Amino acid sequence: MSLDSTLDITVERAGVTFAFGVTNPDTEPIDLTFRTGMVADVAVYQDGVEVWRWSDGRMFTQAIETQTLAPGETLVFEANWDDPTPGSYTAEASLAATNVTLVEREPFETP
Amino acid sequence: MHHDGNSEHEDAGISRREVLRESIAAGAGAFALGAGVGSASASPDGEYNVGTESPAAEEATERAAENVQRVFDWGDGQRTFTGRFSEKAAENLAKRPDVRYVEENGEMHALGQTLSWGINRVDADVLHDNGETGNGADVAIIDTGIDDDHPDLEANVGAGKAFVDCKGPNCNYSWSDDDDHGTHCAGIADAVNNSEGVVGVSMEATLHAVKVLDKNGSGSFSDVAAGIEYVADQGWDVGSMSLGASSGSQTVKDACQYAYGKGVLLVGSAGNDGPCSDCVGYPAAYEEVVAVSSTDQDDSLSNFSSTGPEVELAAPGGSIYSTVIGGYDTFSGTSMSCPHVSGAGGQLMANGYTNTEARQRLQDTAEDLGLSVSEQGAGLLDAEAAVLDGGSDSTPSVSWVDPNDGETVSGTMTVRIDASDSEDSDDSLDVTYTVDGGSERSTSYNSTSGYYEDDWDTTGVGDGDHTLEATATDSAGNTSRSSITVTTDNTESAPTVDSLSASEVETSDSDAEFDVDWGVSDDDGNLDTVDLTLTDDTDGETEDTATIDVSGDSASGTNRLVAAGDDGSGNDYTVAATVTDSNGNTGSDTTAVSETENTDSGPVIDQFDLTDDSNPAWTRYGVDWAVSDDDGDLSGVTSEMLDSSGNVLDSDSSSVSGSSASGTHSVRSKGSASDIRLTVTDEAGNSTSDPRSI
Repeated sequence: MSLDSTLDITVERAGVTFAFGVTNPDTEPIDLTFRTGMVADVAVYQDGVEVWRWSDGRMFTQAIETQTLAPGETLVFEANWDDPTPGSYTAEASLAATNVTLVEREPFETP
Repeated sequence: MHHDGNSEHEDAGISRREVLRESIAAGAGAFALGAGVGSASASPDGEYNVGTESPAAEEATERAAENVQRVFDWGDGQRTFTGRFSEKAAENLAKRPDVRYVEENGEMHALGQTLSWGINRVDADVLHDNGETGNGADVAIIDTGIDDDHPDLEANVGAGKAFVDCKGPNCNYSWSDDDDHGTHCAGIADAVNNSEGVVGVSMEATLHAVKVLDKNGSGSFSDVAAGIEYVADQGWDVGSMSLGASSGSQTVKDACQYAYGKGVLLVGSAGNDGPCSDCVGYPAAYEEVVAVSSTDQDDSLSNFSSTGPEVELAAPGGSIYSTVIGGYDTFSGTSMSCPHVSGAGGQLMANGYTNTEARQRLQDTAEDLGLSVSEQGAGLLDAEAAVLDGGSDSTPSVSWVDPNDGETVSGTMTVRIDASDSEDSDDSLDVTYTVDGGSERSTSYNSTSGYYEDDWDTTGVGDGDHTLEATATDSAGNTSRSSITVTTDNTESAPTVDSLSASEVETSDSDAEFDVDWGVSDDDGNLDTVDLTLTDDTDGETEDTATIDVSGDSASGTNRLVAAGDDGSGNDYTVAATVTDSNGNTGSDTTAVSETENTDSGPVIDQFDLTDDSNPAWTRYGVDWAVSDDDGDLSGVTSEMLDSSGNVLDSDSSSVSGSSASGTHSVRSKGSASDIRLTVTDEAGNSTSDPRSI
């Protein structure tokens, strides 16, 4: 199966918002399976070193979840990074599905 | 709530969601911060109820069914078929005008309450049958909230607390569920026992929603810790944590320590990272938390279940049917195994266990599935065993020392019972016993023997088998019992043959003769008779018997038994002695003896003639004699003159040898002689005499 993905990054004074979009471009529905309540994650790297990860410091439900993505349907995962230190970074968004690997990287800067 | 899965499969007539849920926002697309989506498989797959109202529809239904499990006949031509159908067949049937309805089975309230396999597997239903409902327990579901007005939960839902507010249309309270997950867990732990839906491991415990996870099933360490702290401060019994992270949090650990110290039983999901080893997530991995792994319906470890040394118990977690917002659904995960344990733990706490006692109890009573310790911990949760089989205080042990099972006893005996208890000192137990279920007889502890003792007069019961049951009761009221069967015999004692021996008597006649030495005794002193029997072993023939009257408590004697005509046979014989007392009790013994052949034949007198040479002064006779011996060992010949008293007045002897001899003797006396006796002897000591009057 193949999925299309986008990573939109909005930088504001209070923080950075990441919007990870996952779209089913196919004509058949796609089932995505997740081990826990975490369906996606976002990590931020600076010079190759991880400086922030959305899932750090979070706990999740421990039920297996299946989400069906209809043809053309887009799911959006949003994460907020509050109070970032100014600098140049690379964001890496990844789908946490067990049956498909999807990673999207985008550089960004904070003032 | 974003239950958008499988919408394309739902046709009008057969949608369970249409039946169960007013509105399902299907496939909207956006899932901010991770949509909380349950695995939305229907409960028993492919099972439908088809309502018909014509014979043609009945035929079509039966034809379309893969199997028919039940047929209802409602009268007036209306029937309902419960069976397995393909989705297509169900759809087609639903389009018929003479089919009143097609619905998925297991989803309809009208069909009554479903017993999920997990509840059944841990035997929580048995608890319910025994009146163990969890009433009085406070179980906190630290999760996404609880659907407070769910008909299968509403009666049990108590106070709640939100550290993350409920968002959306279902939020009657800030702690209401906006995901499904917390409601599902709540139903496993404690769904109401009613005519619909499901029933929980407990069914009357008070459920508390502590909402620390958002509508997408995620929450911060801080919120989770705050929820745990809140549960502790409320004094609630159980904190059920169907949540986790792969890395730990000192804040959450501190909260767990705090709550555990305050007496909260903390239960956590081992995690869904399986198959993996040493991968139990947090907070389950903390020592204060009961880490629960997940099993499937076939008792195997669920493939998703995390494992590791922290796993303490296993519980059903694969495909568990329970409550969700406004309905029911089937989820899988260690999130589902955790509340099984929470529900059982709540019952123990309601029954007075502390959190540590309940934890130990759950482990002690778990069922070994044969999985590795890192997979199952102590084993599969056994709610029935944990709650029903006795208290937290262990039962004492009790066993019989004296008498032993099967023993024969008489008179007055000292009964000895060994009893001990792991909590109470061994001399502090209440130990009683009954005879044949009669009134309890008390015992007293003998510090010398270390046993509980009592004197029992066995003559108080008739001779025969009797059941003795000992009961030991400890200070907590736990009892153990031990039964034995003994035989009482208080009839007077039977006599015994103490000694018996037989020896051959050498005879010159043709009989085999034996002298039998015997000794008998009887404790109660009423000996009556001794019977001796001589039996020829060769032909089994009884050769001789003797009966001797005896009395008192002991007797002995020697009696000769004769096997007539058996001399020289070399036969073996058995001598049997039977002693009988005046009450007919007997004792007996036997001994063996042989007749050894006498090979030495005795000498024979062939001639014995007397010549009277007497004169007036002397009585004088001449003896002409001849003797012989078959085996040729003649030794001597003697002629003797005897008076009427048998005194020898005179004698004349000759040494002889060989097989024959002859000669003359002369004997004389001035006294009054009456007999002349001729005696011949051989070397073997055999002798033959012939007295003759004169």
